[in-house]
Order: sequence, then structure tokens, then C-alpha cells
Amino acid sequence: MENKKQKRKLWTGALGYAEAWVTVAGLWLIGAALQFMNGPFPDVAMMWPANIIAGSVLVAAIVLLYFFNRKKAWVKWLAGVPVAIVSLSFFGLLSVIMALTPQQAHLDPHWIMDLGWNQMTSSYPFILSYFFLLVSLGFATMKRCFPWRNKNWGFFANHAGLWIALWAAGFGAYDVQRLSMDLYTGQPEWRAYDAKGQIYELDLALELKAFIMEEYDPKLMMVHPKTGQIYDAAAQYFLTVENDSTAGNMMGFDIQVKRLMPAAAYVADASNARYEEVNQIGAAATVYAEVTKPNGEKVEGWVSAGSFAASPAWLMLDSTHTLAMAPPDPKRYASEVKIFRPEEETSEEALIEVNHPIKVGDWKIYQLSYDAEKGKWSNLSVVELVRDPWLWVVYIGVFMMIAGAVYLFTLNKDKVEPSKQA
Amino acid sequence: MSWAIFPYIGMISGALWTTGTFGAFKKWDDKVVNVLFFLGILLFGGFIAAMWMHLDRPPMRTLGETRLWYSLFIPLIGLLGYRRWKYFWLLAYACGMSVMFISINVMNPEAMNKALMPALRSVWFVPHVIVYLFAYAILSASSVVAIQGLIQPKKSLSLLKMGDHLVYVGTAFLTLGLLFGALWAKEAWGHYWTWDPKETWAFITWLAYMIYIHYRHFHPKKESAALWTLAIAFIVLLICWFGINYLPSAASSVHTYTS
Repeated sequence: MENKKQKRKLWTGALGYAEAWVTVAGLWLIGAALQFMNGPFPDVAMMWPANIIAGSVLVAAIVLLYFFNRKKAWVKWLAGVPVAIVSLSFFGLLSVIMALTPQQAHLDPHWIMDLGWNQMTSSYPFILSYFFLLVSLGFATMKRCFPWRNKNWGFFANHAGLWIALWAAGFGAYDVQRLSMDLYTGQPEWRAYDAKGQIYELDLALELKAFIMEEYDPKLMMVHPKTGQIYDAAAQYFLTVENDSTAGNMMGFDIQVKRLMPAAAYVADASNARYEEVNQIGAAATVYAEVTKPNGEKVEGWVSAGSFAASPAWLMLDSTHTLAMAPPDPKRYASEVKIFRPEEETSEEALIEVNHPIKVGDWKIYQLSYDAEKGKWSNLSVVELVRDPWLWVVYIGVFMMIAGAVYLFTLNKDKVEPSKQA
Repeated sequence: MSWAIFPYIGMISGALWTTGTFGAFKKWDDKVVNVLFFLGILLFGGFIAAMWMHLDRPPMRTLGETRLWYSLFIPLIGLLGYRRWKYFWLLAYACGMSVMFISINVMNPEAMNKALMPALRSVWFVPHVIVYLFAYAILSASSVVAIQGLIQPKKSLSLLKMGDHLVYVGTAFLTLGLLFGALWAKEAWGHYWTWDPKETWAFITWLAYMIYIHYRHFHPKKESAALWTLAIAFIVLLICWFGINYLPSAASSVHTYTS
């Protein structure tokens, strides 16, 4: 390709890595100065319609500057590989700093906050590096796509796809709304709150009909009776109780389950204190187990996980070992809700489950959490409402990149030399 | 099928692969080498399949479980690479890495835990993890090529071409893994990208391989810098996979694989 010639021109035109690094250093300095003077970039400044205006200006600038200056050395430089590598490195370097610094509003020492490293995505240097990457990627895409050649489809899918995804994700981030809503059984709710606690009244209401939770089989574990510490969970010190005859060995103790009750309650009968299967709020998984100690001695008794309404039951084995039951692990949980939309005078029922959000108008509604102490008897379900008007644009980019990744497989032919277009 | 028999499976598979590597070194009939490697892969893959059925969930949740897949994929990639390029050392590294990861698993036994948190119960779970671990295995083969190139500078040009092929395929899988993760995150967490520490490191890893591909494209003759880039990119990948668990900034990650 014409790469050889271009390379020579670039070098003789004296625009290459050195200039790219100088540009990056300049951007970082300017960004740091802005950060120092203003603090974090104010999100409100870029909310709709400011972001679509700024984003469109960027698109127009890249397209027009490219078409009117495509022969100029600086445009070739911006569209070339050195700027691509340096802008990727700059963005990568700031990402490494972000990855090593806890991202939270307040962080000591103070100079980290002055530089904006604790809230990297709202810091001026990060925004400038994002901008530089978009410029480099934008010009590179223009260069390869005009004039269009069919064999460049893979390049186009990769580069334009990434550009679109980055552009929409970056500019669109300011319009993403994430609100939480606390739903209590039987009480319609139309208020939601954001991360800062600000309350919003919505044009839809949700009523929790029922909170549903399925749990995994209960697990027996070994606990130190004095310290209350669980013996190393990573080793094989757990025994999952699947049925009435589960047996196993934990730390030298032979455990034989005699009876498993998924929901039981303690019956305080003086002559025959026991657990019995019940169907009531707070009933906990309980087993009756027989344990043979390493010295051959046998002990038997009740072991119960307990719940917010019942105490757990432990079986003392010796001075350092107690048999206990772990709190049940949730398998799936979901909210049966009724949705009211006054404007449309409708109400419908739906199930919101983890990994299965529902769509209501512009909102996607997610199962977020519940009252962990009450577990499956929780009468509170927290759902999250998310609105992202730019999502479809991001997805266009994402699907182009998926196509581009498939193209990368086709590069894997011996006839493609690294020096040719990759 | 439980972790209890894993040391035996690992030992037999490891022995098959080691013998295959030795055979390749001694220039045995290629069929023998192929069969030995294939048997080891079959046995190891069978163990993972049985474990999947026993656990009633994909064995991809804990770090130990991800090491299982890696130990399976790396000999597979070593064998495919060997069939194509005929480098014996590729088999040797693949075998060595697999045995190392098997040993780590034998020395760090994990509890059999059937529980799979609700967030992981998704159709995206399997494709996301499989594609990622396959990418990791291919890219570690490319890092082996980089090391070999730094050891034998005279061969570095032809080695780099091999590295390019591995990086193209590995990066394609890496990209798919990243994008599948983003699509899944939208369904599970409400947003496709939240700069979760694992996401950030996955992004940095991806950038590192992007830099390598672009550098190779522009400077096909600058071998040493390309080899170093490839080697460093793999270090970033390892931070993303394991190292992250030791970083204070990652304590809040949704990707911490603890039980």
C-alpha cells in the first residue's frame, strides 16, 4: 500500500511520535490545570442537549477537517498509527491510574483529589484523553473509508464501531438516569431516589404483590465455639444437606443426617423439646444429625440455621468444634409487581428478576436487593429504574465491533503479511 | 465427580501431555504425539463435563474453576499451534503451563459448592467466560512466542509473524468476551459499563493488545520493541485475571471470585 510513502512523508514532515507525546503531555498539563482550578468536571454541563451539540460538533469537525485538509501533513499525522498508539497509551495510562486508585468522592492524601484521580471519569485529563482518542480514531476511520473499498469492511467495522460506541457511551453518560425504588408489599410506590438521595416522582407506579426467593440446599459447617469463627471455607469443611440421609466427613467428624426439614420451628415442650416442620414466617432449615467423633464417641442433636425470627441451634462436638448451619444461599429472587401508568390508564402485572429486567416506557426496571436480614420473608424489594436514551447508538457500535472481531479471525491466513493492511 | 479425584485426573493428563512433548522432542511419529495430547485433553475435558453435571451449574465461578478451563485450553492451543508451525517448544510451554495450573489447583483445594449467585444465572455466563478463557490461553501462547523471540533474537521475525496470528485470534476472542460482558452487564446490573475494577483492567488489557497490533502494522521490522510489548501485554492480562484480587481498589468489584 501507500504506507511506505506516507511514512517517509510523515517523518520528513517531522510529525510522528515525538509530536504525539508532546501533544499528550500538553493535554495532561491543561487538564491538570483545569482540574486544579475547577475540581471535577460538572456533569450537569454536558446534559442533554449540550452533549448532542458537542458530539455533533465533534463529528462535523472531523469530517470537514478531513475533507478540506486530507493532503495536509497534520491530518495525515492525526490519522496515522503513531497518534493511534500514543492516544491509546495515554488513555490506557489514565485507566491504569484509575484501576489502582479507589474511586470514591473523598480520598487521602489530598493531592490525589487535586489531580482528580479518585474520580477519574469526571476529571479533565481523562476527558481530554478521551477526546484525543476520538480524534485519532475518527481521522483514521475517515482515511481508510474514503475512497471506499469493500475489502476494508473489517477495518471499518472495528474502527467505526469502536468510535460510535465510545462516542455514544461518553457523551451519552450524562443522560443516563439510575433511580432506586423501595417497594413494600401491597403499597403502590411512584417515588424513586438517585445515588445522592434526591427524590423523584415518576409517571409510573409499582406495587409489590409478592417477593419470591428460592434457596439452595442448606449447608452444615464447622465453627469454633469460643471465637465463633467458621473453619476455612475454601477447604472442604462444608457439607451440603440434600436429603434425609446425607452423610459426610468434616475435619475428622463423621456426620450422618437423620432428618432434614427445610422449614422448621422449635417446640419448647419440657419433656420433648424438638423441632417440627411448620409453614410460618421465620421457619428455618433444620437437621437432626448424628456425629461420630474421631475418638469414636457419638453425639446427636438439632442443628438449625435460625432466621430473623428464630435463634440458630448449634451442636457442640468438643471444645474446639461446633456443628452449625450456614445461612441459606439465595438461588433466585424476584418481585411480582403490578405496574400502574396513569397516563395510559393501564395496569399490568410483571415479574422482575435478577438478569431479567422488564421494560416499562423508557425505563428498564431491575431487581436490585431486598431486606437481607429477613431473606425470603422480606416484605421489601428494592428495584432499580434505568433510562439511557443513547443505548441504541452504543449497541450499533458494539454490534459493529462484534462483526469486526469476526473479521480478525479471517486475518489469520498466512498470505496476510503483517506489513500489509491489518 | 468431585475435586477429590482431580489430582489423579490432573496427573494422568499431565503425564500424557509431558510424554507427547517428549515425543515431539525425540521426533516420534507425529500421530503418536497427536494421540497422546488428544487423550489428555479428552480425559481432562471429560472431568470438567462430569463436574459440570455434578455441580448442576457451569464450573466457572471460582478462580480454581477458571484455572481448570485454562489447563484444558492451553494444551489444545499448543497442539493446534504445533500441528501448524511444528515448533516443539510450543508444546513444551503449553504442557508446562497446564501442569503448573493443575498443580496450583491441587495445592489449593476448593470446597464443592453448588451455589451460584443469582447474578451469574444468565445465558451470558457460559459464552462470556469460555470466550475469555480461550482468549487468555491463546494470548499466553503469544506471550510464550514473545519470550522465545527475546531468547532467540535471530528467529524473532518469523516468531513475530506467528505471534501476530495468535494475537489476532486471541484479541478477537478478547473483544468478544469484553462485548459479551458489556451486553450481560446491561441485563444484570443496569449498565453496560461501570468502570468496575475488573472491567477497567479488562479494558487496559484490550488496549495493550491494540497497541501491539498497531505497532506491528506500522513497524514490522522493529522486533525487539514488539516482543516486549507482547510480553508486557500478557502481564497486564495476568493482573486482570488474578492480580486484581490483591488490589485494594478492587475490593468492591462484582468479579471477586470468592465463595
